[in-house]
Amino acid sequence: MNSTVTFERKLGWWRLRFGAGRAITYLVLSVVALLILLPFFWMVTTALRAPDEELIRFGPLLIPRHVHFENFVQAWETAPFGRYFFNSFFIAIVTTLAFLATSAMGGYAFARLRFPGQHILWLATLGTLMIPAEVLLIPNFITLAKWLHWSDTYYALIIPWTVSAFGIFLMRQVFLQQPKELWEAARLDGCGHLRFLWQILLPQVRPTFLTLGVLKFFWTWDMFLWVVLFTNADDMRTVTFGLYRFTSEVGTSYELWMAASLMSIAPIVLLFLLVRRQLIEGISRVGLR
Amino acid sequence: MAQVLVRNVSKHFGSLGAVNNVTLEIQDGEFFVLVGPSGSGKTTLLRMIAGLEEITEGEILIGERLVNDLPPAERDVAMVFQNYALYPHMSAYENIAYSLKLRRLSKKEIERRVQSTAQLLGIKDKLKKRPKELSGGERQRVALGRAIVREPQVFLYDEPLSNLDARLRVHMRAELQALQRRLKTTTVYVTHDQVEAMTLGHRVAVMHEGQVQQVDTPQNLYAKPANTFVATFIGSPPMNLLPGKLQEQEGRLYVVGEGFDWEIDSARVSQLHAHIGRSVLVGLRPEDLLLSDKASNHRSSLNIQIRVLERLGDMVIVYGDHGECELTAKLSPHTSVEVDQSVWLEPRIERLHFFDAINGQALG
Amino acid sequence: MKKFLGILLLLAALAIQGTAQPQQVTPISFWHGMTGVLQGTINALTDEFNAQNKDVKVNLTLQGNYDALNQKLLAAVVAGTPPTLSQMFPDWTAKIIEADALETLGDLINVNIVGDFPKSLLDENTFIINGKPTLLTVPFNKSILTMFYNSDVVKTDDLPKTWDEILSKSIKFNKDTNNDGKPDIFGWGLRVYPEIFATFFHQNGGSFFDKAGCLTINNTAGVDAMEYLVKLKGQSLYQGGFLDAPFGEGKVMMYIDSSAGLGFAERGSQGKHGVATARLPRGRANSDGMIQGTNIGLFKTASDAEKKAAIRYVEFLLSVDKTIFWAQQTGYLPVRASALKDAKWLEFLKTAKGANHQAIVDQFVNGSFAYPVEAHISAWGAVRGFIGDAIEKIMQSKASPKDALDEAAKLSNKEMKKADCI
Ligand SMILES: Nc1ncnc2c1ncn2[C@@H]1O[C@H](COP(=O)(O)OP(=O)(O)OP(=O)(O)O)[C@@H](O)[C@H]1O
Ligand SMILES: [Mg+2]
Repeated sequence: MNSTVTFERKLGWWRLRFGAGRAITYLVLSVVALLILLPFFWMVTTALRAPDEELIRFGPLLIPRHVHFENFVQAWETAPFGRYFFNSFFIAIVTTLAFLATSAMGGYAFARLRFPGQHILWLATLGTLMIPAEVLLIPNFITLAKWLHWSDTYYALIIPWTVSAFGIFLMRQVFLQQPKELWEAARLDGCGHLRFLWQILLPQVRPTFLTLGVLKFFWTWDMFLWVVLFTNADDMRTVTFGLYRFTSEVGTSYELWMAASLMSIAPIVLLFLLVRRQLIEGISRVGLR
Repeated sequence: MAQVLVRNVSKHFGSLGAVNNVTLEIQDGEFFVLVGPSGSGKTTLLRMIAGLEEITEGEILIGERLVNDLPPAERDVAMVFQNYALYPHMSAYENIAYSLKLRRLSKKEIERRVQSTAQLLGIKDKLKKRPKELSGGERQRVALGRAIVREPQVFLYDEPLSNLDARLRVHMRAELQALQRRLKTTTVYVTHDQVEAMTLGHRVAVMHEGQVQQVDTPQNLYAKPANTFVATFIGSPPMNLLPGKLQEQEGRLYVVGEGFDWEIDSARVSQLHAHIGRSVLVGLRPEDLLLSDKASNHRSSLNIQIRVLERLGDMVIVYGDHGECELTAKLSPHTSVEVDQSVWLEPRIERLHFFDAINGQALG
Repeated sequence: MKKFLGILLLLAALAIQGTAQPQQVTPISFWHGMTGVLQGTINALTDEFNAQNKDVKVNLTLQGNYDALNQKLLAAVVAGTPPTLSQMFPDWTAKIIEADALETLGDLINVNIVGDFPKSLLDENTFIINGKPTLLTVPFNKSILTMFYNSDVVKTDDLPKTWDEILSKSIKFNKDTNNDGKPDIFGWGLRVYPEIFATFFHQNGGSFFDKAGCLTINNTAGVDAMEYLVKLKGQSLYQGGFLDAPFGEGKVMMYIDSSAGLGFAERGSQGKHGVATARLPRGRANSDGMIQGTNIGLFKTASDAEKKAAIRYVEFLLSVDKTIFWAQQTGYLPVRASALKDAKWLEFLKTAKGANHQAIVDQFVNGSFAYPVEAHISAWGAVRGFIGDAIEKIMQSKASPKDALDEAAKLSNKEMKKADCI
């Protein structure tokens, strides 16, 4: 008798707590979302203000007095952004596709194949992760610019970035998590390695694979120092390079910088929205399994 | 349709011999079962037939074709895996159709074959579903469908029923049997469950430590186990084994051991004659022990104190110790015995099994 | 086949062009890190030079920013593929000369120009090579620390003349407009980076190195200067970012920064309040401001023809006319003494646009200094970093000025391989 009462009391308490927990969860999520959105908001308002205009303080938000869409035009005209965009897209797309291919195939080779020298190769691959990028800068420069004469070519901007130990490592790990029988069943069905990788294995790890692709696209789009190192011709340069046109050692034209930044992230946001559906679909599929 | 010949096949993983010098002749259309305890090498042998595992030594022929160096897809065998290994991102239809697609069959032909396979397995209305949306039994059927649709020369099953619940397992067992009768495709079936082995197999190979202990029909395995391993592996509860000695007295043959002294029926004297004076193991199936009363000759009965008692409805199983040995007996359900009770058990002398005490081989 | 035809056509076209233009054009490259107005101005100057000198084609290449330019330059020097000319800060120069990659530009250009460089600029471009002071590079975009003030609010009488006056006079402008007990309008705006510290240190009578070549920023002059800056922070708007923004918004009345920021200060204040410049307040020893900005270096890898063309281009940029034009457009300093006395320049100072350059030039001519030659070493980049770290720690009250500067000096001396320093 007594124990029933306490049990019910406990149940009520749990319900209450669960309800409150939910509210707290939403609250925290909202705050986080706001914190993430605030910089974007700041970007937009800054991009729309005049250079000499003070922003009106409106709670934590700053609103421009007048809207200056011409900042976008001015920013666009500061540099050959049309060409820059073409280059950024071309480089990011080709790099990402090639990178995904090498990551998948490399990861597959290390996860599923057995070949002589595999262990050494694997250690070497992992070893490249340990080398800091700064140390590689000059050797890379000598290889690409001096020996291969790849300065001012897309080769220099794309090829070195199409393979990475990180991609291979990541894909190997997710491939290893897949049951071995999948390969054996496919083999009995008449699959070769490439077909198996493409038609059976990759669909199993689609969320990871897509995420890797999106990240790679980001990173490539964001590349700056590398572009500077291997290009001198303006028509080989990229949007990210272009963004640096608005800052200097002694000051920054924030309104133009933000206008150009907004233009620069627009394709990335678009890409994300495009892939987002696929990502969520993929993730929920994994969750249901 | 084809026969499968396994000739002196061995498989080593490093220093470990998973399969040792196995020779099997599986007939065309036969339902052949490989049974044995865990780690006995059943799966390894099956995988060598499938081509998923390289053969260290020996030869495997499928329909007179040496397949040692053929890739799995060219061996014309289909395998059903314990965990089904369905392609998670494909519908049941696509799963079944995949191998046909790779063979570049026409869409129409694929459709026809998938549909008729689905019909056969009763999953026509499940074809659009993905594996995760199917029940265990349905998945099992899709996996079967994937094998059947290829119309292979040999089916290979690796414990296909072990992931199902007990009821479904019994049901699927019957279906598999019916299916095999219909398709008449040579089948090699791996299981560690002796009931499956006994009910499904035309012939059963019992494996132990990488070696085939005995190949025979289920009845013969039960009635004439070739050695103590088979004797104790097949049958549940397992056969009792008592150490004893064969002795001749006045022209009659006796087996004598601790607390017993049984005269062997004349029909078997001739086959055991050569072993007189040797130590043997006397095999007694639990159902061949009968309750007897004290009054009869006590040297012919075994005395045990019941340690455990299981009433299964159709029988009562009693466990007790006779000297060093544990004894099990299957008694009539109407027997009124109780735990801690001391009882006398008398064997059916004509059903005794004799094994060499040293190497365990059946005598005679 | 098609390719072959294409090559033939190309050769033919070249041949025709060759006959039509007998004059050989020498292309030279000039790498820089200048954006915005600076880029526009250097482009215009270069176009003008190219138009006047048909036999030379100067190709300007922006390498993103100074940091990227630095890295690319070092990589290119190692690879043996540097440009003909490049902008460089003294510590980059120090690194580049380790590879013996630079010509002594000072010896190659017209002596009249060299003789016309103000002393602080000569100091900055002089390196000790084989024990001999050598003018390796020539000054180009040079600026100096200057005081900026809101001329609508701050009158000439309100301008601080000494460190003490900075404290006493600026605080009068602090205002608490929203009555929260804390000021939101400040008389003084403060941003401290190594060159600001260097200026206060120097004004306090400190010198960076002792006779043994050890860094001595942790002496009394240094500690005292930092303590002063901490005190100043207490009554100022202190921030890490550029001060032109709060200045434009009217939140800060006075601040010290590079004269090159004049354009940004004016742009931010446009239509809101006046901007004026003034000499730096005086410290205990002097009222000098520090020279900043890059210099130009010529690489040895260039051919003789390229070097000759490059020298002509540099002489063009450093001509009195062009250095004045450069200064007018960008807010940097004319780098020649005679330019400062040139009628055109004096005329400019009288215009509305030029008025603010008066104080800057005054500071430059009468009170400027540069890092001493001892700092012209490749380790200086790291040393400057240590000083920056110390400033950060002190300003965030994470360490006392003495401790932080001791630490920075210790690390620096180690970096400079001065084992004997204490
Ligand atoms: N790839 C492998 N590498 C090393 N050893 C293996 C490998 N596969 C199997 N073995 C070993 O070979 C022996 C036989 O294994 P196998 O899988 O054939 O047994 P099984 O009879 O199928 O057992 P179970 O009933 O548990 O499935 C075991 O000792 C096992 O550990
Ligand atoms: Mg197995």
